[in-house]
Amino acid sequence: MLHLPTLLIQVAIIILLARVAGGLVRKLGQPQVVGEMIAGLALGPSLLGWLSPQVSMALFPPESLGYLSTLSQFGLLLFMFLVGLEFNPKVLSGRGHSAIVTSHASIIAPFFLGTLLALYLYPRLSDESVSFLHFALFLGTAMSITAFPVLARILIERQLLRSKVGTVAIACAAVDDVTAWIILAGVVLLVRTNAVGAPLALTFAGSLLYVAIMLWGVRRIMGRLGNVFRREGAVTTELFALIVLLILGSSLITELLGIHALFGAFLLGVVMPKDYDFVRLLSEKLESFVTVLLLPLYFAFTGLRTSLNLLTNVEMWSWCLLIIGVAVLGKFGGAALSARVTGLSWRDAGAIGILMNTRGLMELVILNIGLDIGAISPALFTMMVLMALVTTFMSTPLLELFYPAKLRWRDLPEVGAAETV
Amino acid sequence: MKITRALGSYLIFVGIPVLGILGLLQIGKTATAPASVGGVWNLTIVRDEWDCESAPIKAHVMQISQSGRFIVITLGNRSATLTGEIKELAISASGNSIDMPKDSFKIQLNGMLDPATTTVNGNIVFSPCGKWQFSATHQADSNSRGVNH
Repeated sequence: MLHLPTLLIQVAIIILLARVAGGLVRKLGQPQVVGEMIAGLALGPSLLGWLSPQVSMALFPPESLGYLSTLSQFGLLLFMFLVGLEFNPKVLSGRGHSAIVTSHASIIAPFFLGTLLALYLYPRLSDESVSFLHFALFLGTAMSITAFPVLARILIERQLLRSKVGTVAIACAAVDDVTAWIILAGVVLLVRTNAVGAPLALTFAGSLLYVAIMLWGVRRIMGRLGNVFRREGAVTTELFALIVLLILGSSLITELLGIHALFGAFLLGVVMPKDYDFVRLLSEKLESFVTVLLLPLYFAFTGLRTSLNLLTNVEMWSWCLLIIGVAVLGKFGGAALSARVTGLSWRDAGAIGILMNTRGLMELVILNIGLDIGAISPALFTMMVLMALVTTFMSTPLLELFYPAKLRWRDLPEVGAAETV
Repeated sequence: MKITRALGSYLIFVGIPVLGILGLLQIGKTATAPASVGGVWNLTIVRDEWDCESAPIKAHVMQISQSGRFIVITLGNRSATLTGEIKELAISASGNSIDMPKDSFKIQLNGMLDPATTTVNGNIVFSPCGKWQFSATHQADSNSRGVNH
């Protein structure tokens, strides 16, 4: 039964700690999300539970976590809608072949290394209830992700969005995002179908049909929402309510199809009208509520499932380092090498590699799905969360090293303005 | 960037790794992992030998969180946490209760998994109070991984 005071205290502590940690890391030049990830970890068994198990038990009793989980999942649905909303296919125009080669290489290289790593880790960090195929596909996908929203914010904060590096990086991250989510949908479908015994072909066909309906049917209908917006000149309460209902409906359909509610929310965001003012006003309406209240809950929920205490020996820490190394090598190496081959200078290619290596929240989303469907073990989950934190943390200082401010300004006149991210 | 160069780059950076992934997935088919014990187990105390006044732990279930051969066992409502390993079918784990001083009260679990019946039989020694002989059956609908909290 819901104990409201417990939930209110939990939410208050989570938000307070997230804001404090976020503020502190911003002073170090890091994105807010890094601080929120650290705050989430601190509230879990890795710090609070380790320092004082009694306080941890009192603050986060196991029976209360269901409500926290539900709230955070709802926040994530809205966040994924925002990510889809901010995805604009126009950022790809004019980038041509180089963006396609670089983005696909930056997915395939870490995927390949992730699969190779799976050969080593499967006997060590998995068990016989998980097939190697599912384990390897999941590890590969988790290695391939780029945090499009975090990357976009780094580019905006560093005034890099209009630079050559910025435009290529944002185009690659957009392609990366969509591709990685499609791969993940496939993996989730494969694992879940096996678990419930539903015919794979049926759920696969149903998912494809839904995507097709959204992209070619619903997108046109959504265009009318843009017309309503232009007529009214604002995102009215009725329009906002309709959009929220559509998010819930689309999420429900993809959840019932077996590919997770998040894909429905993301897909709806993708097919929304991309009118600049519409996107901006709708984002503003949702963003503060989602980023200040609901996303910190998700970080805390993730932190409560992450236990550094599971890494009990040097052997496990060495696997963790190996995972971080492979993740960086695959993402940075794949993106930088392919960007270089497609004609960018080593410095620019390196900067793109660093930006693509940013994983942030998107990695946590994938990891939580993996833990929920049983594809990864709790210790591997913890190692991968650390990898997400390290790769996100390293982006800003490395970018400053590879691509200092004076070079950014030099590059600015070279390209036209990108529209919106 | 010319289309021929783009195509060549695409084949090298995407095509070849894709073939590599397919090859690795084929190789991995023969890979094996430790037996699965993750999830919630119903605990039946077959026999107990007790010297202390009352048992400091009341447990009708044990939850196992598994990562490869490494396991974390939670007894009762997180009142005791044990860490250990599974080797072949033998389970061993040790730890203590959060309600008792660490140095004065230790718990050691040893058990053997029977994959055919999905049961674990063994004993839990509570030093210095006594021991339980137990039989645990796996809850069919529990998460195979267990919840890591």
